[in-house]
Amino acid sequence: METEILLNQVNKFYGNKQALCDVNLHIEQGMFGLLGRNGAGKTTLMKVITTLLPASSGDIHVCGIPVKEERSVRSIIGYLPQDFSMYGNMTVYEAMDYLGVLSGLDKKTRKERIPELLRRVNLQNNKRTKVKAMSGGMKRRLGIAQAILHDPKVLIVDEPTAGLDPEERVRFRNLLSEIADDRIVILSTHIVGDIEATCEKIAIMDAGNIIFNGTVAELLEHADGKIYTATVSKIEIEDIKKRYLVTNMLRMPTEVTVRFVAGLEEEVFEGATSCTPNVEDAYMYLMHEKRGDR
Amino acid sequence: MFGTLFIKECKAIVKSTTYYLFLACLVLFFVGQMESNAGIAKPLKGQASYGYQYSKDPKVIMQYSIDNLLQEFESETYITYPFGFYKEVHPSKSKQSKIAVILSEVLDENYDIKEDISYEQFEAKMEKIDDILGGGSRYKASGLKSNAYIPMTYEDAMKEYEDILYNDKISGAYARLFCDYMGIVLAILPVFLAVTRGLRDKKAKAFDVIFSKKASSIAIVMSRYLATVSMVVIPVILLSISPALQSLYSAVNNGIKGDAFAYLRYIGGWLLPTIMITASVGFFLTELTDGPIAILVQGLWWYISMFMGAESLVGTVGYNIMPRFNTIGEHEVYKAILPQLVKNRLFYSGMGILLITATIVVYHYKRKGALNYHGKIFKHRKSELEI
Repeated sequence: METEILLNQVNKFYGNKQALCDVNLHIEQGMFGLLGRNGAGKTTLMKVITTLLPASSGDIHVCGIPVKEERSVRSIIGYLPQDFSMYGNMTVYEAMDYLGVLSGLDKKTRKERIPELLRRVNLQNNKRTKVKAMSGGMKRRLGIAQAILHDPKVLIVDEPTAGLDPEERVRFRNLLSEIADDRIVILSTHIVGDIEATCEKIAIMDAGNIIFNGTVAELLEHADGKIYTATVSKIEIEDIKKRYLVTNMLRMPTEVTVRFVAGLEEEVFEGATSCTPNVEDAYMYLMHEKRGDR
Repeated sequence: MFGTLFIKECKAIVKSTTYYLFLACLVLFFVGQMESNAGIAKPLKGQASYGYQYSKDPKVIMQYSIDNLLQEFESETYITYPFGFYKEVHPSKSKQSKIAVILSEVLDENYDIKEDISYEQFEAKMEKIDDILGGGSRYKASGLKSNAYIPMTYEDAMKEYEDILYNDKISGAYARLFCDYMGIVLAILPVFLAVTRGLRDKKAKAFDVIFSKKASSIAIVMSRYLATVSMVVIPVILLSISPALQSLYSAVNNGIKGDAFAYLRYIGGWLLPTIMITASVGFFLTELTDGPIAILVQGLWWYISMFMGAESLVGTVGYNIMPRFNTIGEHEVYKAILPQLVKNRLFYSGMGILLITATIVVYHYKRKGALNYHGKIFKHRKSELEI
């Protein structure tokens, strides 16, 4: 069974509103990042792949299985929804065990895998903790553990780091990277830092369209030569914000160091120097380029 | 896998507060309604009383009804139970005159019932009086026989005794009374358990993760349904142990071998269909609407059925969700209604199965987002509109 996901001309409508527009993607083993602002269509795309929503048109194959064969697809997919939770009065172990049964695992496999996975997500000392007593970060880790309990070929995680503190976020990204060693992990997020730290391949969505599909290096290359930095006085900053797309500002007592996007045709002011783009710059440039907004 | 899921669902029910409230209501109702089963004793000649029974003799029914009516007519106060609620009716002068006209059509100058009036004609006249009083009176044709609650003779008592002893082996007679009482609560309480289970995924925001698992919709819904039905049946069986043992003891005292499994048979045949339909209404409407509307629907159905059945508490079956048999014995009445009762119970079992099948279908389609129209029908999936 090949480890790949193919989407061909996938469309999704909610009544008259088009949530996915002719989406074509080829996702291979490893971490795949899906980036886009809130409302770009990421969750819809995740749910369509996970069989939780039907596509209005188009073909989707998950590891060679058409997505219409829901049960077969569900058996090879692990899913961590955006606002994952479980029954509050269940303990961590009970929740894992219940979801393991729903995944079709026998008792022996559950007994072996649950402690191992709880160790992996650092919840080994919380087996008896009730779900309702868990912090947001702990719940996400439980969410990941349940999603890989049946050793799926594909793991889909929707906005997993939203609301986590910086330390939890880093730990979570590392965990996902480890998991992606031998399967497809699709990470949907609006946080550029998550993608930058973990994904080699990414797609960027905007208003239901895939506006970029490639490697991080290609995305950075796309913005090469368009990102500038300058240190200016506080009075000048308003004028710069009007003229350019500012991606970052570092305020100091009397001055501001600013990063901004300038198109090739645009002239930059004296004192501004070209700099190497990071993923956030490249993302902002791409959005700026596609939508023409500032 | 199904067995494991079923056991997990049973355990989850046992851990829920709703279940303990259910048990408390069930036990309180049982203790409050079921009198202690004192067993039966052979009637002895010359006893001060042999008990009471509803007369089946039309003449007696007519006489008792007229006696009541005359008394209420004189006092110009009539007791009625519209929709089951007690109400004193004080009719206007014109209405009293209309009642007087009907009375004059039924009675002769000595206030005796006219010889030439048939029972059917009498029923029609009484029905008119019920209409004048606004319904719910003791003169409604179908409830006339409950006016004639008469003392039993020695022969009546002996016949009843022998019926209970040889036809019901004592246990059957008491099991019917048990089913009558428990049927009342079991036609409403299981809906609370079903709704609680149905809303649990929504409350815990666990639906998406459960939807995405491999388990079939049949396994998920059926494990929940069967666990609910089982966890309702088990305490009912446990509650029946005490009256069942008392019936067996009474049988030994009367020189016969009791029927040890009568209660189980009655619970399976009489109460299980009630539990099945009540729980399936709860599961179906909760899955369909993602809200607790099933409680309202079942509550309304229960209320109407309760007071439709109250017209006659012994042998009221029809298609009422809770067949009534509020007496010990009356084996002949039971024999007469048995075909109707079997039809009724099969109908509700079938309806229960049909509704839970429909629940599986709804769950299946919700699971793949197919019933999600703009995310508005099922509010919990509204987040998808945020795309």
